[in-house]
Amino acid sequence: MLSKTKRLRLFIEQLVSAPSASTADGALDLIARVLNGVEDQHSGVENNPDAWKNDGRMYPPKEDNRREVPDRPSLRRYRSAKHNTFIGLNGSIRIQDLDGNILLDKPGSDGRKTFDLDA
Amino acid sequence: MQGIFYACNMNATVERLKQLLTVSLPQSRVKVDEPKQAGGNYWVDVSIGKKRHALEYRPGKGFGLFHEDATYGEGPAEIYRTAERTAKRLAQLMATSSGKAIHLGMKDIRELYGHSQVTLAKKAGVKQPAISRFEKRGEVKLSTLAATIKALGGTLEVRAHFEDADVPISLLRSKG
Repeated sequence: MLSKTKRLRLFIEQLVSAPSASTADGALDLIARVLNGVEDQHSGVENNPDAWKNDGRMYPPKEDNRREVPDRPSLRRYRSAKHNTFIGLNGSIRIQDLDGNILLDKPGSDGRKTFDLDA
Repeated sequence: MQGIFYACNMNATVERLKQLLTVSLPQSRVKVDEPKQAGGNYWVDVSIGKKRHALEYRPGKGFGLFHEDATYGEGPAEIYRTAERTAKRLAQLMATSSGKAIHLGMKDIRELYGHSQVTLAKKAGVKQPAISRFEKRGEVKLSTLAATIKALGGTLEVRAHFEDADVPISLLRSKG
């Protein structure tokens, strides 16, 4: 088993090195696939996304936490307790904490990053 | 029509929390992050200077509060089903020197439900020093803990987690 800090680092590293997605839904699938893979292997906690409790496992963004991004129709934002995950229609992904520190800024398959869209 | 009512009703609970916080924590800054779709989850960010807490409001489930060590995509450590109890818990946290939610002790729970050690002991049918010992030193009989939680209107559940099992432990004496 790995600590949460190490698992988060592994998740980000694997997401960086994964092939880029070309659609927003593809980007969400990519996040879910990579994160669930890391957690299945290293958390020791069963995948139970509907439990809504702290079971020590990280879960990917879900539609009930989706938001719009003002003046940026090509972006979606998914909120969690400490982070915002931005998804572009081109498959780009940005994960940043609530202070604005960027953990990951992955371009979509067309090479553009989330905040290159609608700029 | 039902969807519109649902959205308004949900909004009212978040609004109620905001109103309560203006009274209990008048110096706090409260920011509401609304969902795109009706029925989605609200986020309420409450801060006083560097002390801050993010609450997730899930319609029909309540407000989730996250502990300091929460990381990406984790669920809440504490859940409160009413705006009133949520506001009380936030006031409790903001009154501490760090303002951080790390764990919830028996003293916190007792105060959250408005009891002194004496009134709680009386209601639970235990002696006040038993409550005091628990709060100060963490020493408690399971029967005292179960009676205390019952007196506060809750139920105590004890579970054991193993690598290959997840089981409840009955507080009743084993038979057979």
